[in-house]
Amino acid sequence: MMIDPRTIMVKEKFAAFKYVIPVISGKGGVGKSIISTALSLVIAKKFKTGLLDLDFWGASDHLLLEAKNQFPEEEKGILPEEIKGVKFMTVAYYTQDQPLPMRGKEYTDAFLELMAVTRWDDTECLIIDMPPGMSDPFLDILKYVKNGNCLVITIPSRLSLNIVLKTLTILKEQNIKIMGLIENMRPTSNNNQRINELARSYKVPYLGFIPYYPDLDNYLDSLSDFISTDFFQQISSIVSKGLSL
Amino acid sequence: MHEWSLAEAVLKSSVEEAQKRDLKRLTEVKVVLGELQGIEEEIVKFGLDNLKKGTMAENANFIFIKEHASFQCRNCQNIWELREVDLNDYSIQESIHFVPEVVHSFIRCPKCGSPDFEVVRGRGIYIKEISGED
Repeated sequence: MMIDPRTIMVKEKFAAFKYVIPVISGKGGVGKSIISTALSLVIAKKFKTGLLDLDFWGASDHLLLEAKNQFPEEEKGILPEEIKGVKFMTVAYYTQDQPLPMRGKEYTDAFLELMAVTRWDDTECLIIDMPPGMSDPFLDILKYVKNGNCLVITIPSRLSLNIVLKTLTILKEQNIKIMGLIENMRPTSNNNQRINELARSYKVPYLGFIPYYPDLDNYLDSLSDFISTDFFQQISSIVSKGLSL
Repeated sequence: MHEWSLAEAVLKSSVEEAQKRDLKRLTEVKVVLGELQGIEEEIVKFGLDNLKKGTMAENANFIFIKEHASFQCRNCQNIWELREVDLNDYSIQESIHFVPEVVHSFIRCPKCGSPDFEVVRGRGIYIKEISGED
């Protein structure tokens, strides 16, 4: 007999949030991390908000948030670092900026460990920055998060659209709530409605598009610069107009 | 003291398992502590002694069993133990204490150098056995 004591805690912790928003996409490189981070900072103005970076293989939210390079405090669990009103947790606190090569089974163990011991306390809304794809991290979310409302991100590329279609298919099949679809990195010359039409065909709200900002990367070295970008304002606008929170 | 969270997890899971078996009271819980995570037994025990009051586990005896950590390389099948590895850096020990899987950031197979290895035993905490009364 072997009982994993963490699973009950993880289920309870997710169930305690009023809102859980996994930010997902089939493809990598579509802007999940930057959107998740901006989203958490915007929503934190309205709700007590947390951001959980579950992209253990490619964690980057800590760079955007300028998180401290030290262990979070401990008090009957781990207290997430609070940055501009966002309670933040990432495996990056524990990898000392080293690569973390591991298989899916180990990913699940790390996910359960981090979630079981993190004290989110009275946090109302948890944003989850997901890694791309439909392997263990995606399946863990389906298994442990029963109150999730997914935000799906895509870019206008045919390659991304093809995968996002499959993501929407599996979410619908599993009766997972979908908050909506955001189109990121849309070129100014692009006026086609493919993503809007895709959203309509899946009966998913199209929450809007974010233009392609070629110089955005120049503003990611400092959190205050990031918050001042048009990109960030677009996220604010999408939250105020489209998110049903 | 994140051991407190682990104690809470052990208690809740033991009680849930006892309820599944229609037990009225828990009398004994065997808890395995894996060497890799380096969990402080005394702190878990202290947490359990406080948390179990007023629950069906109030009079339960929690028995702790230490388990040595060993690894197997998925590339060359080499098997080795934690004590053979140099992990004396305190901050690395602390990192692994919080999330044992980050061991993959810090050690490699001593034989072939691969990062692709499995923690065969002694990873962290789990419940091996519960006993109780109907």
